[in-house]
Amino acid sequence: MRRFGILFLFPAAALLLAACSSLPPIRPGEGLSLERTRQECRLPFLREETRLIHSLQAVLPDGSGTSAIGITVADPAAKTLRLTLMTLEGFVLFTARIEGENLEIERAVAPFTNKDFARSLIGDVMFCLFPPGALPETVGLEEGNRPACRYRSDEDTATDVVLAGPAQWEVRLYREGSLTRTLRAAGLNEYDIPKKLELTGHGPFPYRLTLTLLTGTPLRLESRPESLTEEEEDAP
Amino acid sequence: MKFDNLRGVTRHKRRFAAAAPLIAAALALILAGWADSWDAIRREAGQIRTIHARFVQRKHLPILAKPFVSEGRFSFQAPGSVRWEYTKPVRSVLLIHKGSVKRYTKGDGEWVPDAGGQLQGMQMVMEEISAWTQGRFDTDPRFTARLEGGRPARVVLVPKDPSLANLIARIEITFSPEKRGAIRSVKIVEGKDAWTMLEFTRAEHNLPLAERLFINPGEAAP
Repeated sequence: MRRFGILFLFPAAALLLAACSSLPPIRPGEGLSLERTRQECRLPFLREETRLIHSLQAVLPDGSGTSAIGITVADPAAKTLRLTLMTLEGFVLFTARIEGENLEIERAVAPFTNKDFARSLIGDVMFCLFPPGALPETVGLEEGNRPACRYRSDEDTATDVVLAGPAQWEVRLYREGSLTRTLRAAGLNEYDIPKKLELTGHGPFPYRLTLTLLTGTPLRLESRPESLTEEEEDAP
Repeated sequence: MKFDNLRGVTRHKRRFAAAAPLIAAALALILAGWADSWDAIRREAGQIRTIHARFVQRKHLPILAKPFVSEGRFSFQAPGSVRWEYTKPVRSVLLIHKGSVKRYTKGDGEWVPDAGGQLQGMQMVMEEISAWTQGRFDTDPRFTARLEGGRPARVVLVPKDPSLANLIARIEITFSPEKRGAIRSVKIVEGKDAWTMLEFTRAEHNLPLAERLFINPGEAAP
């Protein structure tokens, strides 16, 4: 029985090694610059509950494009996210909230009615906004000699954050050794929220999503007016 | 002195009494408005061949701390050409002309055409707006139309089909009390906490509009 167990472990270990070996190497570094890199790797991600409004331009697998407005309230500590997508004309296409693994779709028109599509969309938004982990597994220099951090969520999933230049980051998501998503973040607003995000989905159905920040403010700093009722808006 | 005052008041009263019917008649003329019946609306709107106006769109949603505000320009040419252009915060334009509907978004300095997934729905909305600008409020079989007189007068459209009512609870179109044939605002109510308010300003009727305004996304509005 034990021998069977060892036999089982061989392919598992081989798979794990294959997965690890296909990740581009990060040469571990040391010293003060290491701590600075570790801090800068966290910069393109949210640090507290924030409300964001983006304009979105998507290039779909067939090469066509579409645009929309995305409104997000995201809390990286609680891992909760509320998302509304609407057309530029204000027609709501999709409203959902996710708390942990629970996805609740409040309103959806096709193709957002498909729960897998909706979950994948929210997964992409979370990848763009939430830090990949508390502490990086490796901090050092990547192949192009740029400072980088590698975070690992589980055996099969690794996220590299590369400091690509002043106020520029490249975030790469690997699953089972294959690059599945690349995020480029550039510029920071007054609350250290990236002004532009460009997400590329790799694989058999490649796509590109560009998010341009219109507003982004931590909830604790918002001056929220008393909510207006319909009747009040009608009043002259 | 007191007596003089009293006599003055009495004199004013008498003058007012004489002038009252004239004031009432004038008020009635002012308050009657041009939009008190379907026929009157159609008659006034029927005079309109083109419209050019600015608009401000305020979107209210529970997820927003304050309304999301967009601004733009609207051009219409009878029978059904529409240019619906946003100038802030995202530049985009929807063009409807001779049965075709296209949307472009300005990205990196050039106009990028949209895939068209959402355009069918938008075509329906814009066709509605075209019909309203022609005074045809009570002809769409999907809605029950109610005209509420007063100043300003307004039309309330309520979907008949429950599946459409899930998306739009009602639409309220308010007429301009000052400008005959003009719509002042359109409010699209999706639910208790979700609605869109469109307010039109600087409306000009029957300006000559070039056809290319409804074809070229980069065409400058008059």
